[in-house]
Order: sequence, then C-alpha cells, then structure tokens
Amino acid sequence: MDTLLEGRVVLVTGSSRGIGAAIAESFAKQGAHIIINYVKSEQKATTFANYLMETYQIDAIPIQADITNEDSVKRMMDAIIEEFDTIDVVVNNALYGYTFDPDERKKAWELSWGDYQHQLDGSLKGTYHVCKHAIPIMKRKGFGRIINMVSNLVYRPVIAYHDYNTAKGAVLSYSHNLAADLGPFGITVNCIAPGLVYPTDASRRTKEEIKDAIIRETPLRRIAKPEDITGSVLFFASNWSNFITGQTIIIDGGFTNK
Amino acid sequence: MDSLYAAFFLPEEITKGMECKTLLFENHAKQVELKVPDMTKAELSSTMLMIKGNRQKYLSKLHTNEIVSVIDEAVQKWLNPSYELRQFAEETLPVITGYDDEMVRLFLSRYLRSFRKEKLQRIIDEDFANPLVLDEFRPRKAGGLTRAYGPDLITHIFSGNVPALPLWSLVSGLLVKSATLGKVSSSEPLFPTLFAKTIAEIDPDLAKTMAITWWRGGNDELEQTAFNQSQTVIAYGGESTMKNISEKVPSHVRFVEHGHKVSFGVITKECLTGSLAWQSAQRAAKDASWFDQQGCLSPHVFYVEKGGKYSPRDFARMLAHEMSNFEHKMSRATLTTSETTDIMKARSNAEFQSFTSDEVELLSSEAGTSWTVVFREKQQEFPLSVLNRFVTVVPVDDLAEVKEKTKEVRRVIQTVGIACPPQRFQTLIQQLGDCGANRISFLGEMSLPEPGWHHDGRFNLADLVYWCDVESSVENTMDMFDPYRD
Amino acid sequence: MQNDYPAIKHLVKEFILNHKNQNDSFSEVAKQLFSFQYQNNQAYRKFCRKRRISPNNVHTFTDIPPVPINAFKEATLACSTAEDAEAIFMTSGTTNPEKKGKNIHQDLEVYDLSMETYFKDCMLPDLDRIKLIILFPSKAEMPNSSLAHYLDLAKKQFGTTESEYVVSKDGFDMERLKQLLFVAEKTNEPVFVLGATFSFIQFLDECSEKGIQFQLPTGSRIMETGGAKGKSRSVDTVELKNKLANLFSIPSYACGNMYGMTELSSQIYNQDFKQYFLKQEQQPSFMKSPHWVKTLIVDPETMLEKPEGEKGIIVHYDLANINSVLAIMTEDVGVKEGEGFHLLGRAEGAEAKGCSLAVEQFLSSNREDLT
Repeated sequence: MDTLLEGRVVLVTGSSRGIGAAIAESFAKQGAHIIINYVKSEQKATTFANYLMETYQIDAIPIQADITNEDSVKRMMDAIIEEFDTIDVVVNNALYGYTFDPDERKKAWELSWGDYQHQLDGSLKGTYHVCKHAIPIMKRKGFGRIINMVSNLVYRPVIAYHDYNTAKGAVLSYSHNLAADLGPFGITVNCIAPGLVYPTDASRRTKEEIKDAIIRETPLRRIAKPEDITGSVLFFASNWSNFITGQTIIIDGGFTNK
Repeated sequence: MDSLYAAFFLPEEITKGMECKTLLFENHAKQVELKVPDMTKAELSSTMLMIKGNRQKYLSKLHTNEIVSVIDEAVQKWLNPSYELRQFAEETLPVITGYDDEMVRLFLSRYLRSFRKEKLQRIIDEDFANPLVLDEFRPRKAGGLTRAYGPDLITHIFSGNVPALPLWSLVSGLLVKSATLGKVSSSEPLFPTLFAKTIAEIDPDLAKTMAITWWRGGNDELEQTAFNQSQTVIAYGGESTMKNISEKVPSHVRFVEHGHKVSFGVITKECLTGSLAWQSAQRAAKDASWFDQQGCLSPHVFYVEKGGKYSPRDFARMLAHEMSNFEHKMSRATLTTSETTDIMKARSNAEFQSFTSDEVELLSSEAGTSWTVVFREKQQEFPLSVLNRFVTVVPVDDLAEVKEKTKEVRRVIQTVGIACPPQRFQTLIQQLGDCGANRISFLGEMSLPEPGWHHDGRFNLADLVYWCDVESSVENTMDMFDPYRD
Repeated sequence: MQNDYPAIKHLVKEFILNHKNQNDSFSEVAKQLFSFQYQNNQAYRKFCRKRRISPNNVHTFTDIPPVPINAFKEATLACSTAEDAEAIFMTSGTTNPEKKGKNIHQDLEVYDLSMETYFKDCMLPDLDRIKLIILFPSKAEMPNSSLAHYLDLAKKQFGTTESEYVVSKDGFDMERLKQLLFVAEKTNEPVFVLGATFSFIQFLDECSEKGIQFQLPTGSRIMETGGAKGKSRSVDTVELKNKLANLFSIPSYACGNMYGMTELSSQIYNQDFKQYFLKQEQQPSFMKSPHWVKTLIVDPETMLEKPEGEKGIIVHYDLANINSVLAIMTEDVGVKEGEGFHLLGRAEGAEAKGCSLAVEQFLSSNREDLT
C-alpha cells in the first residue's frame, strides 16, 4: 500500500534536537518535506535542515517560533504557506524544558500554581496555538493529520512529576475533543505517549537505578530510543491510519500494560 | 419462455421470424449481452394492431381496482429478494449501467415500494376526485355525468440509464387502460421487459396489451409508424431528442414530453448548527451522489445561507468529506474518456481560479475523479454540473437571492431539496415556488419522489385521459321522451 | 532565479540541435526545465505543490505533472510577465477575450528553432525554398495568432520571394488562389499550399461546384492544420486527404497535416512526406513528435499511459515550451502506435446518461434561443 507520505508537508515543533529531530528525519526518509521549528538553536536547526535536504532530496526549512506566543506561531504558519502552500501533518512535540530528576522533583505540597501554569503554557498552550492556525489550512483541503506528543506518565505516574504530567494529561484530553470536531472535515488527531526515552536532553540526568527499575518492569526489557517513537508517528501520518482518530499509542515496551 | 437476456416483450407471432441485434455492456469487470429486436415496419405495425385489439377485448373492460391489484401483486413479487427476475435484475443492471450494485439494489426496493396498492390508489385519487370515472359514467356535482377514457395506445420513448425509472410511465398507461408500446433506451433496455414478464405471470391477458421493443433512437421509419398508430406519445430525453420526436408526432396525437431538468439544494443557516450541520452535509452528499447525479432530480448546486454556526465554506468542506464517505459506501461508475475529461476541465478551471482568489476553493478526491466539491463565493453564472458527482456550493446572504441566481435555468428547474426549520418553511417554499420549481423535498430525499407527485409540474393520469361529458339536458329532457311518461 | 533563463534556453537549444534519439537526456533536460518552471511560474508551482511534486521527486519526465490546456484560460502560466514578452499567442474560438488561453513567450528563439527544424524535416526535406501559397491571414493582421507567426516564419525561412497570402481579414481570395495555381501549372514550378483546414474545405467546395481540377507540377505539396471543427462542415480526415490529393493532382504523400496548439511551442506532423522521402514504408495519418517532444496517450482517470492500440487523452511534454509549462494535457483523444500516434478528435461535451441536463446541451439550446 502507498502510504502517501512522499511530498507531504510536515511541521514538527521543537525538532532541532531530541525526539523532534528523530521524527523529522523519519519523515524526510519517507520523502516528506519538513519544517524544522526551533526557538533558540538556529545554528543547529539550519545545519540539520541542510543535512536532511542533502541526504533525502527533500525540502527542509528551519523556522524560528516560540509556540507559546501566538503571534510567533502565526508568523511561522504564514512562512510555511508562503513556501509550501499547505500543511499536511503537524507533530506537536515542543515543550518547555523539564528536568526529569526523581530526587529533585517538587512534592505535591511544594508546587506553586506558577509551576502548573508554566507546564500548561509549554504543552497545552503551545499545542493549542499550532492547532488553531493549522486547522483552517487543513479544513481547506479536507485532509490533515495532527499528532500530539504526550507521555505514558499520564496513565501511570511512576514518578509524580505533577506539573509535567498534568499538562500532558490536558493535551491528551484536548486531543480527544479536537478529534470529535475535526473528524467531519477529514482531519485526524492522535497522540503518542512515550515512556522514558534515552538519551535526550531531558532524560540525560535520569539515574541508572531508575532506568533499571523501569527496565525490570518493561516486558521488552529496555528503555526507548528516540528512533522507537518515529514508527508510530509515521503510522498516524500515513494512510495506514486513515480511519483512526482520537487514539493514543503508548511506546514504552509494554511498561504501561493497558 | 424467452431467454432472460432478451430485452423485448412482444407477441409470439411477431418474434418467430424477427431479426435481432446484440447490445454489449461492460462494467465492474463483467459483461452482459442483451438481445434486442431489429424490427421491420410491418412487424411493428402488426404488433401495435394486436395490442390495441387485446386492449379493446380485455383491458378496456377491466376495473381500475383490478388493474391496481395486478400491479400491486407484481410489485410484491419484485420486493421479494428471492424472486427470480429481481435477482436477475440485481445481477445485470449494475453491469448494464455501471452503477454500484448496492445502490441499484436499494433503489429497486425503495422505488418499487412506491407502487404498492395504497400508493397507486393515492396516485389515482390525486388526479380524479371520483376515481370511478375511469370505469363508468359517474354523476357530476354540477349536473350530468362524465367518464374519463385513456388513449387506445400510448407509445413510451424511454431514455437514460437510471434503472426502473420507466415503471412510472408504464404504470400510468396501464391505470388509464391504454395499450402500451414501450421503446427502451439503448443504455438500459432491460427493466421494462422484466416488469412486463411479471405482469404476464399474474395476468397474461393484461400482458398481451403490452409490447416492449427497441430501435435506435431517430429511426424515422419505425418512429413514424409508432407515432401514427398511437393516440399519445410520452417521451423522455434531451432537447435534441425532444425536438426530433415532436417533429414526427402527427398533430392529432398528444405529445407529452419530459425533457432533461436541473435541480438544486437550499440550506438555511439554522441547519448549520451543531450536529445539524453534519446531517445537512450528509443529506446533501447523498442527493448529489445518488445515481452519479444522472437523474433530473440530482442537485447541481447547493445554496447555503450565511450566518449559521458553520460557515458555507465549512459546509462545503463537510460536504466534501461526506462525498468521500459516500464513495466508500457506493462507488461511482467508471466513466468514458469524455466524461472524465469534462470533470478534469471543470476541476482545473476551479483550481487555477483558487490559486489567485480566495473566493474559489476546490475540494476533490485525491486520486481519480470520483467526487468534486467547488466552493464559489460569487456565482457568475448558474454552475451547471458536468455531473458524475460534481457539485458547487454557493453562499447567499438572503435566500431571496436564489431566485435571481437560478434565473437562467428557470425553464428547466425540477426539484429543490431544502434543509430548513419549521419557522422558515412557509417563506422558503413560497420563494422556491416562485423560482419555477415543481417539486420541493427535504434534503436527502431529492432522488425519491413521493407517489402522486406532479411529474414536471403536470398531472400524471389526468394529463393522459380525455373526458366524455353527458350534460344535464340529457338527464332532464329524456324523461319527456319516455314512452312510459306520465 | 530569472537569471537561469539564458542557461535553460541554451540547454534546450542544444538538445534540439544535437541530441536526437537519446531518451535519458530528454528526461535530464526535462527535469532541469521543470525545475526552472517550478521556480519561476507561480501558478504552476501551486499546481505541483497540490500534487506534492517538486523538482526533488521528479526522476523521469513522466513524473512531471501535466497542466490541462484550459488552465491557460484561467491563469497566467508563464515564467515571465506579459510586459516583457516578445510574443503572446492566444487561442481563438471564444469571443470573451478574458477567457482566451494565452501562451506568453519571453522571446521566440526556441519557438522558431523548433518550428524551422521540424518543418524542414517533415515537410521540406528535399528543398531549401519553395513558393508558398498561404491560406491564412498574415502576422500583421493577427499578431496574437501562433499559426500566423508560424506561417510567417515558414514564408521567411522556406518561401521564395513570390510566396503569397490569399486569405486576409477581408476574406479568402479564391480567384487569386486559382490564378496562382494556374501559373504554377504553366511555369511547371512546384508550389506549397498551406493553411487552415477549413479554408481548404471551402476551396474544395468551390472547385467541386465549378468542376475545376488542377494539375500541380511534381514536387508540389500541401499542408492543412487546425481541423474542420466548428468552422465549416466536418469532413472525415481520410476522405479530405483523398479529395485534396485529387483536386491538386498530387500524390497522397504530398498531403501534409500539422497538429499544433497555442499552448505548445512545437508542432507535430504526419509522416507521409518524410517516409516517402526516406523511402520508408508508408503509415498513413500517423503523427510523430520531434525528439524534443514526448507525446503520451494516458487514461485521464489514473494518468497512466495506455497500452498501444487503446484510446486515451493526449499529453505532450514539449521542451520548447520553456516560458510556460512543458507538460500539457490536451482535450484530444488519440491512440498510440509504435513511435507515434493517431489523432482521433476532441473529447468533450459528454452526453448525460440520465435525465439531468448536461452543460453542453444547455449551452447549445441557449444558443438556439439567441438565433
């Protein structure tokens, strides 16, 4: 079956590094055009875009945008339309940096509302901004794929990163609601919920003992690599998932067994 | 009995020596070969004489109720999925016409149901205040008596490939007790024959007043023979066919024409709220996709009122999604090169316009030409469709604009499908009646007219009969001439 | 990117002049030209984007998406503006000037090279110059007609000084044509009569009515183009060819037919004269494109090439069409045969299968209303 990813225009937010970059490269490998969105790492994003163009013979452009700022998102969308006329796939991957350190994490009674607000802004508000401006473009063509990154901690907070997990839970719920409204226009909305992914900037400080503990409870007996995530993202973007919306795939080697 | 593949129903005396031709149909990777008559003028002429004689002997003496019962029985047979002829029709009609099998199957059932006894009675009651006038002289309220007579013989010229549609005409002819000569169309020659065979199973004498045959449209010799020996000619077809036929119908023969028509849909803003918006889109998609938009009841354009919760543009997009869903359910027929080229052309017009203007939007099936929705903020001319599931959505500020927007096609408007709440109903139907529409249905029901509808705005049966009035003077004065008078 | 124009022009000219029969290099040049057009032709770029095609995923010329010719009526399909153009050729037919198809040529170097090369090859392989008698108005009278330009060029490059037009805005001077033909008979100097098909038909009718026939000297030839549609009574192409050969008393191989359109920059000819000249086996009414044009017969539903012998829509990939789009989807039906194809006519105005009014029918009945 033709998965029809070739020539699709794909926006991956926060894709100059980490999981975002792995996702972007996996799309490029399938012949899709990529928008590398970044906030600060311009050099990195540009080098990466050039690498993708040369390696995979596709178009890749780096665009700076802070997705928590609506004007900034709007400018990015205008730039994408200017260059590509359309957007087929959006992967909401960006979030505010979060340090996953079980020892240092704030306990329930230590959190301020500001901590929650910060994570909600990074995850939910950013996703909301990007979707808000992508929806009119997708409606116009009667096709669109929105893929939102959440976390397996939403289902089982092995470590209670309150603010982070709550914000991701909000994105999950937002996605379900979005799916209901966008279905009649041929747009699907799905989520990817990875477990601990190593190595990424965010997980670099995760202690060995934690990783070992997770591995012990993971049927597939290892921690996820960034490349493990990409297959499911491609699946949701491809024609193999034509009739799937409002769903989540958990990628944690079976740790969350539901 | 003749082979099922013989697409004609003629007296045995005629078929014995008659020449035949073969029509080949290919669709859905299957083939059907039908045998059609290649009649001589003499054969046609004697066929007509025979059925006219049989009509005189039998049909003219039947009571209308008896005819209704025979048709009802025939319809009951057809509604049974295991009936041999129905199974044969379900198998072959999709191959003959290219239409989706499921669509053909569903249509047969729905359509045939509208010919059940009570529906037939409704058709009669619609046209005759006292249906008994078809059987005998009945007193008039104004005094005197009157009776309605159908023509001796009606020639029906069928056209197009929408299956079973000729039934309407056939039944009307039977109900007014006329002999039937049916000329089937080259694109769907089978159904009328099958139905006549069913009548023969139930009432062989009645069937002997029917003849179903074929000739290539425009055959002067046969058409002149047929028309000269008819009292009424009912014809379906495009304008050139109509012109051609009307020139051949002698002035003393009544000519009832059903030319090609245009239909459209209207959606008020109240129907673009919440889940109603999706329902409206779904109904619109059904009307536009049914029989691949080939029916005169199929909409070419939807006028959508602005100001609802969903914009007309969003409606167009939801309609596009529903067109795609319908295609999944019942796929469109394979098209000829020129049909496909027409769609490609119309699409590329809209597409290149959309590149320079936001006022035009093209939504279409990604691969192939199976469906197309064009959104046009401003209508330049009435957006007649190239058909085969190609519709236009035009927004309007006020539904009163519809009249102006459909002015060009006024003389050929047939059905308007509406989606509206009760509060808007009265105003809307008046506006649409004013546009020249002759049938208004709810959206989603455009393709299935109710029994007794005024086809093309005319009476069905009343248009066929002539009347014999016995004036009150006879009643009043004859007593004076009574040998037993006081 | 506009600076690439001289480079791309050079590339195409090179290919026309030097690269016969090299399929790989056709795709190579086509890819580069596509890339140029994709960069510089905004409407075409959008068209390609919608189909998710960009220069990166074009591997062979058939990957290039063809534009339906009626798009030339709706959009400016050009790599340069109309102001900078040396020539703008427009389609005839419709009366609404806004709905005329336009092909904008930044300059005519490649157009002219294409015309001269293949015209010589197919219609005049044996001679350098010949007396042309042209059945079409001059370029001065019809500055936006590609055919007028074509014939003007033919006259300049291949016509003797006695060449002459017999059709003008005022009409068709049939008496002058007869005179010129009688002169040719007398002086025994071969002539080349060329122009619009409908004018040939008009002349045929005139001569058959008056019982005139000509005995043109050996080496004389004719070429008609445009078909008979709309302008006069329609005539079967084979029948027309026989009648014309008979009228002028020339062999049937000397009856040329040119197939061209405003939206292209190259022409395609029947191969009769060329095959006769090269002493090849005759394949009547067989059209063949020059090596810088690839002509495919496709199924319009799938856009896949039809097998030989099956009817389909004609698509041209014309490298000479450098300033607009190289890939064009026509509304003509054809059948592939060997290296060439047969032209079967236009595909349009399908009749409705049911009882819904067809556009074509509505238009024609409205036209009747007006008359």
